[in-house]
Amino acid sequence: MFCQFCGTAVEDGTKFCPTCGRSQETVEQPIAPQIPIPEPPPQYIPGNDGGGGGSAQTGKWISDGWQILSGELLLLVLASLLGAIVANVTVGILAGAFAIGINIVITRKILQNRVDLGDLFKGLKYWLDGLLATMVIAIFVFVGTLFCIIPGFVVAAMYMFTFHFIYDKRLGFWEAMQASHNVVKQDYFGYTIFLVCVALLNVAGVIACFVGILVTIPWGHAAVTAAYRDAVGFDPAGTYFS
Amino acid sequence: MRFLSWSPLVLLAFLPQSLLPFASLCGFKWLTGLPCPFCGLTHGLLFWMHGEWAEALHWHLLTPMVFILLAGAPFVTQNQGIAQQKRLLQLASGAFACYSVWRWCAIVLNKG
Repeated sequence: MFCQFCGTAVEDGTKFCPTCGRSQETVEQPIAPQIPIPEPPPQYIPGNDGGGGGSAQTGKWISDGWQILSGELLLLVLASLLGAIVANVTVGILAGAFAIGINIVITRKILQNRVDLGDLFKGLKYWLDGLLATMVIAIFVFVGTLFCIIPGFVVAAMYMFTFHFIYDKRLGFWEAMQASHNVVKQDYFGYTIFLVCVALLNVAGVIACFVGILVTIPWGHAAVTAAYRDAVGFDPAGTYFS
Repeated sequence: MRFLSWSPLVLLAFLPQSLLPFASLCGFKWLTGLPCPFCGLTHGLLFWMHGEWAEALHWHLLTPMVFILLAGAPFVTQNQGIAQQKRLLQLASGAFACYSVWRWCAIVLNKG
């Protein structure tokens, strides 16, 4: 069958399109496979983007990130700190899992306006995909930085939604990376600038006696999760909470 | 926010030339001794923004193209479809690849 949103051919029974990440279960009138699709239509990107299509909204997302964070500052800082400690203790093996975990914590804050620290450990369910994604993205970014640094930022921006696609759409690490790339390619420059701004936030956190990073890291996670909410949209079922 | 792509140009226009690093920050150059496709672009754009066109071209021949891409990015993003953006990126990538090969050949032949 074909995804009704972007026209990509997907296998029967697939829950989410590997290209645009949209749910295939809500399809009311699936496109018949025999209908030829000469060129896929532009991807529909939901969200209140003010008519900018798939453009990045750096200011809005960083501001939204702060609003999300400031609502539960202490708990989100604690969750982020806990995740960072476990990721370091396990020599990075669980870094991806806990990055997914902190994103699940923030997602619940966005969807249900409450924080459950237990969500931090729900990322362990996706630890292998998290680990593989972390390793592959790190290699890609490293290669990118070899070419006068800036390409490394572009590559990092390309895969910024990978962890979100892994837990929210339950995609494998490679499909999630591709889905993230498909979102970001609508505005490479805008998303790269967004990521650079998030990185600058963390630099500011380091300058603020290193303590600031306790706030800027979850702020960055919240900003990227807000971007994912607007650019892709969360799975309404939210099964990862259970 | 869509005019953010102008920020590097504005920054470089006001940045004194003495602040640019003398040593290359390029890992590819450290490893191979050859410039990567983007080596010299920061210097090129800085000299371009200061009105020193010849010096800008000396550092990187594609400086004018990158300047046009950065200056026009807000309008491309707003008005062009993904297919057009992709074609633009492919053209730019092709230009960088051709320029790199030409630059490497020139360096190798000069050494020989």
